[in-house]
Formats: sequence, C-alpha cells, structure tokens
Amino acid sequence: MAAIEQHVEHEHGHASPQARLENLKFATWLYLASEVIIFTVLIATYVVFSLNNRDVVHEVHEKAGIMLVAFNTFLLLASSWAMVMGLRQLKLGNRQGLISWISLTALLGVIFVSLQYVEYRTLSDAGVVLFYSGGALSEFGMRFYAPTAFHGAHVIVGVLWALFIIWNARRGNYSATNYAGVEIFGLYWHFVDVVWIFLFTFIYLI
Amino acid sequence: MTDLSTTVEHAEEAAQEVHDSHSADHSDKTVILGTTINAPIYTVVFGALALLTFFELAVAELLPRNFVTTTLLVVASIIKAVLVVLFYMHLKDDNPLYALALVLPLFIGLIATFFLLAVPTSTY
Amino acid sequence: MAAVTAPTLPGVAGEEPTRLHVSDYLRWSVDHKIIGVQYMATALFFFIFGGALAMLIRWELLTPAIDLMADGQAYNSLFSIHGTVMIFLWIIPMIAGLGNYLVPLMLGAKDMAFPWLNAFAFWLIPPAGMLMILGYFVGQTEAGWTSYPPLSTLFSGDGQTLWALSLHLLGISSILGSINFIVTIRNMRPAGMGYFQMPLFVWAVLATSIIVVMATPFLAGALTLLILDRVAGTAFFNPAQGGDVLLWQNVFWFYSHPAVYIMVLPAFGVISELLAVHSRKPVFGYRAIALSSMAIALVGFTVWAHHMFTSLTPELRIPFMITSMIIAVPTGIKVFSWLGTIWGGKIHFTSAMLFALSFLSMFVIGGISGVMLGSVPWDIHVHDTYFVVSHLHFVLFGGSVLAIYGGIYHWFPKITGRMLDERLGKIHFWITYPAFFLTFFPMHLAGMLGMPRRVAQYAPEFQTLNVIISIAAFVLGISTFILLYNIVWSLYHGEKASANPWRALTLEWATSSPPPSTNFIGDPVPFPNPYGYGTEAAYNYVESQNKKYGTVNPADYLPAEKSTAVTSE
Repeated sequence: MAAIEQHVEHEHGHASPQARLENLKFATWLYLASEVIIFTVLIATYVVFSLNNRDVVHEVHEKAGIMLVAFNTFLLLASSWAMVMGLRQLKLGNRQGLISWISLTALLGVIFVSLQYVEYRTLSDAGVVLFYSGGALSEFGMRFYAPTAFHGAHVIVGVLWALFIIWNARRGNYSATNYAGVEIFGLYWHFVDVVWIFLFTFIYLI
Repeated sequence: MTDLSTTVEHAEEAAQEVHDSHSADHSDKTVILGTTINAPIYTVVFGALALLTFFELAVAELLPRNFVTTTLLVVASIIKAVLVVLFYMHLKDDNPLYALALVLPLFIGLIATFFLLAVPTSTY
Repeated sequence: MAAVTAPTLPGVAGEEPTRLHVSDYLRWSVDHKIIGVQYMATALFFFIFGGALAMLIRWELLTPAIDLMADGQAYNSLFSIHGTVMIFLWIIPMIAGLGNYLVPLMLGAKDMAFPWLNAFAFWLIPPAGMLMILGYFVGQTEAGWTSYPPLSTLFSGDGQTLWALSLHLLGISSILGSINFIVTIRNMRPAGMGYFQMPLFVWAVLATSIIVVMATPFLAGALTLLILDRVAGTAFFNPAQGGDVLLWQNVFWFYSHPAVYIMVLPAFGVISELLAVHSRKPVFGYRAIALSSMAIALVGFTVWAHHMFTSLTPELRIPFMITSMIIAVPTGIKVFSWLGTIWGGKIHFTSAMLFALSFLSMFVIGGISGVMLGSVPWDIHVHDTYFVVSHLHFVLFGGSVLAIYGGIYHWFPKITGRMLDERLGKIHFWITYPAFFLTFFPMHLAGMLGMPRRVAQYAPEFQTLNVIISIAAFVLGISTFILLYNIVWSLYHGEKASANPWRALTLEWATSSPPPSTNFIGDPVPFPNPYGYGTEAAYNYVESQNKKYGTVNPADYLPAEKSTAVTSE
C-alpha cells in the first residue's frame, strides 16, 4: 500500500505517478486485448469469404489496383514511427520535439483517412458497395467495408486523441517523468498500425 | 508463479529498471550485427518495416498467387507486426504479462477463425 | 437507499463521519462503494422488471391456448426481453456491483484503480436499460435472447435494433469494468497479500474479468454485423444474399458460452466466502478452487458449439462433446471442495448460509443436466425443449441468483451498517427454496415429454405440469418481495451492525460498517490466511478488530442458543 498515500480529503485511487503509469499501461493492454477479438471477428468474416471466392477477390483487385493502398500503408507506418519518435523526444526532455512529432502523426493520420475516402469512392464507382445490390461484388463489399471502415474509425479517434495530446503538451502537462498519457496513446496508435498491417496483407495482397 | 505475486512496490522497482533500460533506445546510434547505424533504433525499425512492405508488394504483384507466396506474405506481415509490438510498443523491455494480454486473445481469436474456416458455408 | 451513517471511529481525529443520503446515489460519484450500490439497486430494479415478465409468461402458460397475450408475437417479445433483461441487466450488473463494492475492500485498497472509469462504466447501464425497455415497447423484439438470424434480421421490428444497441452499451460497460477489476487486483493488493492469499471471491472476479475482456468483444462484433444487416442493408447473415446464417450462431456462442461462466464464477466466489465464514472452517482446497476458476475461464472458450449440435456437421460434434464434458471437471473440483469445507464445521444456519447450501444442492442439479445436454444423443432428443429451459434456470437461478441472495444477507450489514432481519430471511428462504424447485424441476419432465420452449400454445397433455409450474412460479415471484421488504425495513429499523458481525477474516470486515469514505483508517493488515478460522490467532485477530472498531456482541445477531458457540471459535 506504499503507493497509495493516505489523504484526509476524499481522494480516491490517487497513486504515485509510477504506479499510475503501470495501471494505465496494463489497462490499455487489456483494452487492446478486447480490440484484438473484435477485429478478429470482422477480419475472419472477410477471410472466410475470400478463401471461398477467389475469383471475386481477383476481380476487385484488378479493378482497384494496389498503389494507392500501398502508399497509404506507408503513411500509417510512418505515422507510427513519428509517434514513437515523439515519445522518445519527450523522454529525453524535449517537449517541443514531442509536439512536432505528434503533429506529424496526426497529419499522416488525416491523409490516411482522406485517401481511404478516395479509395472507397473508386471502389463504390466500380460496384463494390456496402449494401446488398444483387451481385458478388456487394457480397465482397460488405465484408470489405466492415473491417476497413472500423479500422478507419479507429484512425479518426486516434487523430482526435493526438490533437488532445498536442493541446495537453502545449499547456505543459507532460515531462520526461510524466509521460503516461503519451505512452498509452502510443500503445493505441501502434495497435491501430498493427491491425492495418494485417488488413493490408489479408485484404489487399492475398 | 513468483513473478505473479509482485506487489506494487516490486512493480515500481521493475518499472524503474525498465525505465533505465530504455536509455538504450534513447541513443542516437544503433548497433545491428556489429555494424553501427547512425540513427535511433526506432528509425531502423521503420526502415525494416518499409523494406518488408516493399517485399510484400513485390511478391504480391510479380509472383503468381499460390501456397508459397501466400505463406510468404503472411509471414512478412507477422514479422512487421512483431517488430511494431516489440519496439514501438516497448514490449521488448516491458512486463511479460502485457504479452500475455496480447497472445491470449490472439490464440482464442485464431481458434475461432479456424473453426469458422472449417465450417462449410454453402451447405445449409 | 436511505441515510447510511458511518460511525466516527475512535482515535481518528478530523475524520468527518460520512452521511450518505438517497441523492448521493443518484449522482455521478467515483467512490466504488457508491457505484457498487448504484449497480446493485439498478440491477434489483431490472430483476423486478424481468420477474414481472416471467410472471406474465407463466400466466400465459396456465392454459394450452393463447389467452393472455394478443398473439404469438407478443409472447415472443415477452420471453426475449425476459431473458435478456435477466442476464444482462440483472445478474451481470448485480455481480459487477458486488465486485465493485467488495474487491477494493477485500484488497485493503482505497478505491478501484480507475475510479472515473468505474463510474463511467456504471452510467452506461441506465441508458442501456432504457433502450432495452424501449425495445420492448417499440415491439417485435422477438428473436429470443439468442436472437438467431433470420428471426432477428428479417422477421423482427425496430425493437430488435434497440435491443442490439442496448447490448452494445452493456458490453462496453462490462469490458471497462473488467479491465478495472483486473488492474485493481494485480496492482493494488496490500503488502503481505500474494495471489494465493486473496479471498476466493477476488479470484472469481479475476477469472470472470479475464473472460469478459476476451469474450465480450465477440458479441460486440456480432452485434455490429447485426446492426449493419438491420440498418445498412448488408447481408452478413442472409444466405439468400451471400451471407452465412451460421456465422451469428458461432460468434454469438463464442461469447455467450463463456458468458455463462461470467454469470456463475462470481457466484462460486460468493459461495466460497459464505461457506467458510458460516461454518467456521478453513476453505478446503483453496488453491484447487482458485485455479479451477482459471481453468473454467480458459476451457470455457472451447465448448461453444455444444449449443449448436443440431446445426453442426456431424464430425464437428464429437470434439465439442468432449470439451463440454471436460469443463464439468473443474466445477466438480469446486463442489467437492465446498463439501469438504462444511464437513465437520460449526455450521451456523443463518439466512446467508441457508442460501449458500441451497446453491450447493440446486447448482449441482443444473450441472448434471448440463453434462446430460453436453452429450450429443441426449441433446438431440431434448434440443429446444423445456429441458433446456430447466437446465439454464437451475444454473442461473439455482446458481447465480441463490448465491446473490446469500451474498445480500452476508454483506448487507457491511454496506448499510444494519443487519437484515434474520426471521424474515428464513421465511424468504423457506418459501424461495421449495418454490424454486417446484417451478423448474417439473420443466425437466415437460422437456423430456417433448414440450418445446418458446411457445405460447402447447399440446393439452402438458397442462397439468404447466399449472404446477405456474403456481410455484407465482409463489417464487412473491417470495422476492419478502427480500425487498426486508431490505427496506432493515434499512430503517434493522439492528445496528458491528464492524464484523460474522467474525470473518477477510479485509472488508476490518473497517467500520459502513466503511468510511477512504475505506480504511490506516493501512489494514491482512490475516495471513483469509480462511484460517478455528485458530487462536484468528480469534485474536477478530478480537483486536473489534477493539478497534467497536465491540461485537454475538447476541445482537445470532439466536441465543448459538451465541456461545461463536465466541468459543
């Protein structure tokens, strides 16, 4: 109980910064554990369809091309890199470095979502739609949009979170010893990146 | 089971050690296989991720799709994911319990996925 | 909740006595004790709501024809909402409430690891409950609590969409709550309490929370697809449009079989506490009980398809039959350990203990009918009959609810500072126990004779059985009000409870009743073995607590002839 100091006033669960970081990190990992499962459900629905309907997948791949998505993948990997570099700067005591790197992370995230919108437009023009419209392409469509759009939603949440981190950092709320907030955002953002690594391979390449 | 019975104080000590070991990541130089690269470890990992992505693209675009190429693609993506988790998410130096929080759901998810794959979809 | 006052503790200057009023429980609060009571009060409300629906179901089934309900669809809504409310808005929140109140206290902590998140998780439940009730009144939520497509996609109305949204919120709430539990249990134990010195209730909450974090997202995924099917025009579950109707069943049971253990593992934990305390004996096989919880948590993920024996390809049935048999083993370990615990103990037949003992007998029946259902040939014979209804009520009512009743009698003094009335408690028990048995046991017979579940009209030859069942069910329903009356009456007129009325060794009793806002004054020192009853050290430990928080007088809480037995430990 050394970590939990006694206060006469009613402060609940106020722990030392180190214990708080440990709590937050463990909680974030557990949250990511549940995210693993929900993404598994969505990806599995796609994979089952894809393995049983190779010709439809080929048709879509022919129509959509790979270059836009490959570029997008590169952007997301780069944003993940920017994220961890930002955390590194913060741990080295450079708060301005944190703000610059996280801004880059957010910017890359925004470009990723915008390009995903462009990609969705191209696909829907080619007949790959979310709702059932009577063809194999929409059977592909619903299973394609569900996981990718769910991932896109996570990127949007991540960008908003990054903006919150920047706002907090500008107010001077982080330091070389107080980086829990940035670290757990990093865990989330890298996880979103990892999900995309698998989505890219399973949906766009195979 | 001793590591499981870590109390808060122990966790703090462990975390302190972790924090110290991070200082290796703060270095501006990275040593890989005896060669020194003039960049932080994170940048080196990013390079590896980019290279693996190019490799995947090349395999997917240039080679015909069959069992071998599919396996190659899956393995490459797993390596990428492991790199991100180990280095960017700091799992390399962090509490092994966090790895369990990732591996256990993955395992359960894989059971579920393989089961779904095993069920014939068209016969009902 | 009425005014609950914590006494000023001797020797603690400057600590204002906590005075909580009803309004404190209607507001946002980050105190785990208030949140725990909020959970429990909300859950009790939905228990009454779901119970009222059950009474309507039994009323309808008094005769073989449809007479009470307008049509079969109205009856369908009735049992769908009854099932969902009882599972997701009664048992799970009630257990979350008990966990919230007790886990930090049992760990000697001031609060959960994330107090704000804790409050947020609770406040998702009222809107979810409202959506669920709205779903009932909007109508056509009629696919059962399992909501198999195409019933839930093509043949249900907007109520089904509200149902899915409500479950989504409840799922998020329980995932957040469970993350909080796991972090609290791992990081906030006091010095001197390793994993194997934790109370077994905490072990049970830990195992449950692990299941919730891993299993609930399956439901979230399935619900997302269901909502897309209903709202966005996709066809994930419609084979005519390239979907897969079995996908829902699989993904739903990936969640819902582990969910059975989410509901029953904490009940196991409650029972372990109650049996040891009220028979004044150390728990027999502490490690076996603790680790079998974890075993159930893991094996629970490999048995889901036994719910689908009639829709699976035959070659996939056998593996699931085997795993379903295997999971009975850790449960058996627990049951025998509990029997070993009370064997030769000084059993005090308090209301809490009576409910714990009734759990033992009734849950075993539910477990045995579970093993019967786990074997393919039997399951195919009684599939979708009242045998299944009987089995699940023996497990969930005879298991979870009886344990919760016992828990209420056991921890009410700690939560409110007043004892529940023992005489009313015994009346409650002696009505509930036979009424429960007569309600659900004859359902086995109806099922074996072939009466299908989820029907409002049935063959006339089942009427005798159904009339017996319905009458017993009405008695069971009325018996609940004895408990509610007891709770309300005792809040105002109950005997003042001492800090440790049951002379238990776990840490939640090492503080005043109710505990002060910071839970403990100073750091509580856990007794080395939380169940080390019957030793001189245990006696001295309880005595020293009594000196610290006020003297315990056994005559205040036990019938006169028993009080001497307790003081002699």
